[in-house]
Amino acid sequence: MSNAIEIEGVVRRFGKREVLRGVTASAEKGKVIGLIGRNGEGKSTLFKILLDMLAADSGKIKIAGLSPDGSGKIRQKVGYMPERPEFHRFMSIEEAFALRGRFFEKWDRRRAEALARRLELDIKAPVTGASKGMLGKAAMICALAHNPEVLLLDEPTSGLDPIVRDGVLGEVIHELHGTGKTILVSNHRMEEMGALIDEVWVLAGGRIAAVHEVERLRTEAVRIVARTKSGAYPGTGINVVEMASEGPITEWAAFDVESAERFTKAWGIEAIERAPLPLETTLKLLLKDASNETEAQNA
Amino acid sequence: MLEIAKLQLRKNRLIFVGMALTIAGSIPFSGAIALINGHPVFYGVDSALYFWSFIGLPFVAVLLGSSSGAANAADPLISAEELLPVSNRDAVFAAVGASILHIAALAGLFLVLAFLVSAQWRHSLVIMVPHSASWLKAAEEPIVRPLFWISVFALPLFTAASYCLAYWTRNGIVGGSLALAAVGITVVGLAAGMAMQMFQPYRAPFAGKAGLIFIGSAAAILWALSDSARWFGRNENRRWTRGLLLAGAVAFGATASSMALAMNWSRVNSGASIVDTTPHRWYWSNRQGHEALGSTAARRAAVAGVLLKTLKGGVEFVLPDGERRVLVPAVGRSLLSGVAGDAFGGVRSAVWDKYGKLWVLRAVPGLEGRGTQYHWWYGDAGDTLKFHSPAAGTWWRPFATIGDEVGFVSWSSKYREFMRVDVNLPKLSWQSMGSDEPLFIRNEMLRQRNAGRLSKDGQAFSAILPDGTKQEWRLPAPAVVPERNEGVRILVRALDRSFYAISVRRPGAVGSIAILELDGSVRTVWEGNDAGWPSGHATRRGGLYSVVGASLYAMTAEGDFVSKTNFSPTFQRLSKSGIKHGRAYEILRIDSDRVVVLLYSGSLLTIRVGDGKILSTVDLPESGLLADYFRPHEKRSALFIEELGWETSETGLFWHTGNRLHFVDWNGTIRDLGKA
Repeated sequence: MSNAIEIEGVVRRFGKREVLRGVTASAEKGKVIGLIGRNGEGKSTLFKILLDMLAADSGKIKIAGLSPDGSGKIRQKVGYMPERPEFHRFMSIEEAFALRGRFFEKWDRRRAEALARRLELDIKAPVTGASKGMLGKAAMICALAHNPEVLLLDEPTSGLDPIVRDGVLGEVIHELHGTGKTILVSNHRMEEMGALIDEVWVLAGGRIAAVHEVERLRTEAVRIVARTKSGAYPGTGINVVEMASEGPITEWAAFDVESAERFTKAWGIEAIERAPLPLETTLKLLLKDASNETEAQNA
Repeated sequence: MLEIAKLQLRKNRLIFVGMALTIAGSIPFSGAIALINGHPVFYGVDSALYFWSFIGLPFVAVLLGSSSGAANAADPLISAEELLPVSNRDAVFAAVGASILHIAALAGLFLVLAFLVSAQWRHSLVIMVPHSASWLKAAEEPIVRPLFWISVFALPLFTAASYCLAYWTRNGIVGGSLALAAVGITVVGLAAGMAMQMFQPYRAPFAGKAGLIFIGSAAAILWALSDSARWFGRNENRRWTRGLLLAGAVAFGATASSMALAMNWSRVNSGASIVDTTPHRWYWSNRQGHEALGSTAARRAAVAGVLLKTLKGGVEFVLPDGERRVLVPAVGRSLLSGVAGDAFGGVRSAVWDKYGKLWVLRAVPGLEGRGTQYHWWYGDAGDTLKFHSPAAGTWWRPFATIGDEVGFVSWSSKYREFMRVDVNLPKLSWQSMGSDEPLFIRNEMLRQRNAGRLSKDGQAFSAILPDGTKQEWRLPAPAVVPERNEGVRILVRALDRSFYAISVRRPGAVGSIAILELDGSVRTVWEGNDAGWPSGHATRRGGLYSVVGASLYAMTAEGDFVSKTNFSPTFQRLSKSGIKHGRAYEILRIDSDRVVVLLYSGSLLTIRVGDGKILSTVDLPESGLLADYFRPHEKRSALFIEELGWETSETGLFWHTGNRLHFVDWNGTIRDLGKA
């Protein structure tokens, strides 16, 4: 299966600060990828580089078969929903759609109108004075109406109330799932999209520190409560992270079956309790784990 | 690209409509204000139109460009538009194009309105009108018009540069100000260059350079826009040297136009031309021709060739056969002084002394970090002159002569002083010349030696002769004595003889000239000459003449008095032959049977004395110098140093066309002596 997104060794600095330090990842066509990372890790930077809106200092990118070259052609094939959508304030939402219709070759006015109806968006409303929710819906429609091969959603639910969130995510993304479109989405509330995501990329320390299949995380990630002896060591190469500790009792998370097995058999560790880990917690722990590793490497 | 341009037009719509209304509204408003204050309506209207012409439109162009550039660099607009599948370069060019379209529409609106409502504006900036004698009025065509039209054509540059700089700095005020300075300097430089070209087309041609600079400047700004669109549009990380290159591109026009202007200014002021060795020009405007003649030795040396100052600050002595002798070597110059320094360097003054040797005063700009230095050179025209010494002080004056002495004159409201320069003098010093003008002139004449004095009754004349003896003459009629020189006369010197010449006239009779020979004899010449003689002019060889009405009274350099010659029939014949003359001419040579006349229309005539018959006519090579000298009064090079366009020698005329030197012998044969 060919990849819809290929990223290899992408580096980007802002002044002396190196935000992306060699990002390498690839996404198969039709996959929904969740991009998690702490604030400032460079998620939006990576999105902008993928969209040819920001130049990478080095590295190679291919998205929907095109490489960023400053021409903006990539954006014909990629839909993007920014974290803070902006439209010309002297326009109505309908005019903003019409403007895009003149630029995007495959803009589907009917689809845009249908989506607006479905999301209960008043397209006659002026941009000035439109609520965050309206702008978010409008941005989602803009991202979809030209039938892109790849969708990049940067915090699509940020600042939206639960009803709008449901409208945006539950309705639209769910519909997209399985249509062959590749979606890369970053969201601090990734659990909202847990059912939709195929894969998680953990962005930490300017790199994709880990890639996990969500289904595996959902089924294999476990919480282990263990009694540990002094000097006990979980062992190297085991994908576990310590969650809490109280005296000799410690709480651990293992992200796959093999790690859980090896951990419980390690010297000095006596498992007391073992329970499945909710995906939300798993994702948080993955992020924490990646950050700890980065800090350790930097130290 | 069309769509993004449409979008940009829409974004600028408010400012465009606002400016259009402001321009249109300012005209009746200013007229009404003038009227309310008791002035004619057109006072106010014209003021408003000139404001918009020279200040308003460039500012609006900058405003449109900088506001658009800064807005497009601002985050909300970036977010709204960067999602569109358009390259940054297309977006930037479309935005700039839309702004340029707006300023073009505003400028068009203004031009139409101004043309319709103001005759003054129309005449001064658009329609060619006859010249006025007023200098300010006259400045319209050579100075104001180029400035206006270059500004109009530069409006797109103002807009593009201000967009570019506002886009970089993300600040409309900073970007606009920088662009206004950069393009403003370009425009003023080009306009000044065009004005200079109008004054001195032969030496300071500028239109070609202006065209190239304009095109180059536009290309540089477009390149800067294109590159900055990539750079800033995608926020690329680049080296600071790249930024310098971009800044250099925007500043290219200002730099190039300033340098081209400085180079032309330098050429105008220090360009190769004939060195004027007439010593009295600045001091003795009322001195008669023969009093300005140097010694016989000086005249013989001077008429052997012509002194030419070179572009690099040297002096050459050019002989009629084309031989060039370097008398003063070129000045060593730095690259910078080659651009701007020449305006302050080069030959400042030269004079032949009584020994037939040459003094040259040359300014040397800024050597080794010092200010301008003045150096004297002295020697024979047959060889390189010797560096004599640096002149004291940093000021300079042209050489003056009093009698046979070469020096400098200094004057204040009370005193006049003369400083003689001589290679044999151990020390130079100022000597007082009296404290008022008549006394000064009298003293000067007395110092010329062999000065004589009329008796109080004007019937006799006495003088100390060159051999020291005293001579007295009885005049054939009472002398005609102007008040100024109080009856003092100096010896008239021709190449081979000397005498005194005094205008005499009996009451109720016509005048004539009494010639007092050194042997004591007296005779009268030119019965009917009431105008006094010798007066007026001298040829370089030493021939003297005055023209009264259309009659020429002349004496050859050898001292022969030539029959009175009437030029009226000569001019009539010229007119019949279709030769332009305008009755403007100069006598170049006087022989006993013919005179050679330079018509200022560019012809050399040989005329038979007496009846004024034309013996020959030679059309001289076209001369830029002549054209400049005789262009309408108000268009002459008032701002620049006038130069000699010709100089006579013993065997012919040196003719400088502005960029080449020719020699025309008295038979009319023309030789091209090369670049000059």
